[in-house]
Amino acid sequence: MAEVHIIGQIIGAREFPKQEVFCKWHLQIGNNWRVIEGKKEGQTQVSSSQFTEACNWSYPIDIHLATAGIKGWPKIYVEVYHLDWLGRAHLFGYGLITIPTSPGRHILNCYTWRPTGNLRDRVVEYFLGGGQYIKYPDLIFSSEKRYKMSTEAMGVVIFELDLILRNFNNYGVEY
Amino acid sequence: MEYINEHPTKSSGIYRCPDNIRNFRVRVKIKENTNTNMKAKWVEKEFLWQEKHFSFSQKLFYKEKPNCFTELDLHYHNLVAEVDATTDDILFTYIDNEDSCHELEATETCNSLLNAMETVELRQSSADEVEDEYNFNKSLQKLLNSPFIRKNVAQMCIMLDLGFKPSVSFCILRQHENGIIRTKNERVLCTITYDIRTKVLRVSPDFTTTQPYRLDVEIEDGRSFYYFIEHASKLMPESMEANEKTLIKKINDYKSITAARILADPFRVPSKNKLLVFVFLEILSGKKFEYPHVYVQYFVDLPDRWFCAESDVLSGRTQICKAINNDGLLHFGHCVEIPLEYNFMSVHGTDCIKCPYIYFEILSKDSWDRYRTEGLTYKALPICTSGSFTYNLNCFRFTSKGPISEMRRYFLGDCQNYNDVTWIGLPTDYEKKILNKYGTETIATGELKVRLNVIHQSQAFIENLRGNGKHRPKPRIVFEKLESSTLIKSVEQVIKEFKNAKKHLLEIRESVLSSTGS
Amino acid sequence: MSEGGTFLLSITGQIEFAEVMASAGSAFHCKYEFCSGPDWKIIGGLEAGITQIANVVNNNDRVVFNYPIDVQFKSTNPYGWPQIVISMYRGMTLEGYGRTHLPIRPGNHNLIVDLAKPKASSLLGYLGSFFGYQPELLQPKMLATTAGNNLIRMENCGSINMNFNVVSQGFLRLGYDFGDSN
Repeated sequence: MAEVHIIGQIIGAREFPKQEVFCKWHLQIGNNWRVIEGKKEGQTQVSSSQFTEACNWSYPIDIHLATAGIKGWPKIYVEVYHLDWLGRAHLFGYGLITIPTSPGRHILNCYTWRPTGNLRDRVVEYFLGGGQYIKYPDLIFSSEKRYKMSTEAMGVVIFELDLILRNFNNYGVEY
Repeated sequence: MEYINEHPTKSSGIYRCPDNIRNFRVRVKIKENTNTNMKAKWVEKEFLWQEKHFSFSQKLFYKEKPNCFTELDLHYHNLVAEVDATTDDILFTYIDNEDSCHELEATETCNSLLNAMETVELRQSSADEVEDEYNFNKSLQKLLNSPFIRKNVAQMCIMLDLGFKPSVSFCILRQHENGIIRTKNERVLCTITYDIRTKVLRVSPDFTTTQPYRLDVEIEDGRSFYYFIEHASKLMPESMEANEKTLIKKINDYKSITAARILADPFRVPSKNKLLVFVFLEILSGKKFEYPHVYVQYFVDLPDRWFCAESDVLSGRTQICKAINNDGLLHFGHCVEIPLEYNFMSVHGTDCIKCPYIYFEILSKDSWDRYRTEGLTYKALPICTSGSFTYNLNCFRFTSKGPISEMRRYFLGDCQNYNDVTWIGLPTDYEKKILNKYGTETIATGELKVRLNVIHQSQAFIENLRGNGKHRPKPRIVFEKLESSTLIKSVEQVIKEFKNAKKHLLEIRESVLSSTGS
Repeated sequence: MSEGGTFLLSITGQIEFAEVMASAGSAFHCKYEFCSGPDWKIIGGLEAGITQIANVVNNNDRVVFNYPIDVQFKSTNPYGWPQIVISMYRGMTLEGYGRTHLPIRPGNHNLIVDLAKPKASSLLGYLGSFFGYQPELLQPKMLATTAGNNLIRMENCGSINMNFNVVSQGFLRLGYDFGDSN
């Protein structure tokens, strides 16, 4: 039985239209994977900056997984929201990245996008906020049904992850 | 004559004491350095943690009932009554519940900032262990309940009593005997502080090794003393240590066994002679394409002897993304897992292993439902080494010299005006020796950023790595390793066939002999 | 010596300097503490500390601490890898909190940790911030354990540079592989 440790942080977000964003992240794994220790999901604090464009969370991620196969390698799925001065949360993007398969330090950019509606929806969104959300998050992780959506590009969420692999060599895996 | 050359500087020693502090013992040996020829004797005493020893002056003080006000004083009064009052103990201790102990260690605070800083530090250290769920109310409650500075340390001072000194300055303690005012004259030999929460022991000055410390008594007398501080706690007996170690080992073994049972199935290993290549494809972003609403279609072309268990991941399509800002930035974030298999037993002779290709078609769709080809690009899958690869692929699209095709593209859209997308790369079944693409016009369009993570798995690697399981051998070129193992396999196969043939021959010979014999 | 299924980790280094918007004449000091998982134990070294008070002479100078960090850990499991939480103060008010994991691979590492300070969550607090009111976290460790930091508003305000040397023992023997340095 092989083990994977994911230790790292969500550094922050870049190039989102507004500051004061926070992020919810979830870990997606296949059927033959189990989380031994660690949280599978979480939510960062809300971050902003007065003088620069930076929006840094430094949110720690520490997950210990066990696996019986390479299929279903973990992915992290993020939802980025903006918290406005009234305390409402507006969706600013969805994103999905695959955890790298080689051990060591990786800095990953997660490109996020947000579903757009027609002209009427966009006008309403401009004045009232909100916008379209995805009802069933399956659309995001599975690649088959994605083509039905029309989206627009939003910012980038930056991850810094260190990967430690154990016992993979015993099963003939080359990474 | 003893001639002590160097005097070690007095610095504190900090130790960790996970065991019970009550087992701590310290031994102090002190001798006065006199200039006379008379040899002074070493006075030695052992102290347990928080063990109260009285000095001569203290004994006299506590013997008098009128001197005792607090409960502690009365307690000491009783103790002194038991102890023999006449022995001259020059070594004594102050323990934690006495005020004089803390006064000796109090640092002078020279500014308000320093004062405030000490407050801040102590309040921090009195916080308990953090629980899983942070509860604001509970945390606030804890802070309100213990607003005062409470040091979490226990202290003990080992002191030297130098007897009385008739003096009119600085009266710390008055001892009325025959009406003469005497002042306490004592010096600190050693201060021992123990932090209960972090289990850290601080011995100041540190334990001596070979050379004693020197204590000079100033003011007129000019006396000096030499003293050793030695650690005298009894060590844990061997049997207890061995028991502890076996217990720890048992706990660790149990933990690893339960961890191993967490998954029902063992790790899936491919069958012999198969190489599994897992490719994790992520289509990340694109930029600088012509029209705003863009999506990407990908297609993996597998040559001979490559198979894929799930054929529906070999081709797919992302969502449509609207370009923003001047660069026309598009974000896809599309992740796909492609498991490929290669059967290498069927490699005969000097056949090279052919590499699969992945083709990307970038298309755009506008509000009138016109589809246009925005770009085409391809890449050979990096299957020879495993790891993580990020590519910035440049795209081109087909065009033609006259204005008609561009106008058609503008008004009607020109989606997929080609038969076979593999034409842009090298078609896998291309047999001729020369590749001639002259005559086709293309123009360059935007860029596509793609990340590929590749992992290989095969039984052949287990044999290679079992010998030196510690570190990964380099270089990690997969097919080199496979080749060595196929050689061994083919040799084994030859030997097997030879044995079969020999067995067959023997059987025939026996049957012939038996038929001729009979 | 590591025995059984344990490995040792030794980290030495220093908090070098901080880059914040420092005005001339301000004084900064820093506190740090470690936060690690249940399988980790500190077997030696300094667990927490406070730096000296560093004064700033010119505007926007670096605030130099050069404060040593020296700690040894023992563990059976990489889960709960130790994190360092730094609180930086300007005078007596909070300047920012920073949090990072200690580096994993052996060798020399230069880390830049971003500082963030909490913003007031009520209107009164917002008005108070004009008069110098700066909220603090009751337990900075919660940045590391992430217990209850939903929807706290924080503001980024600078960074701290640290340099670490990491030495580990017994890691490879247990079958862990943490990759080459890239």
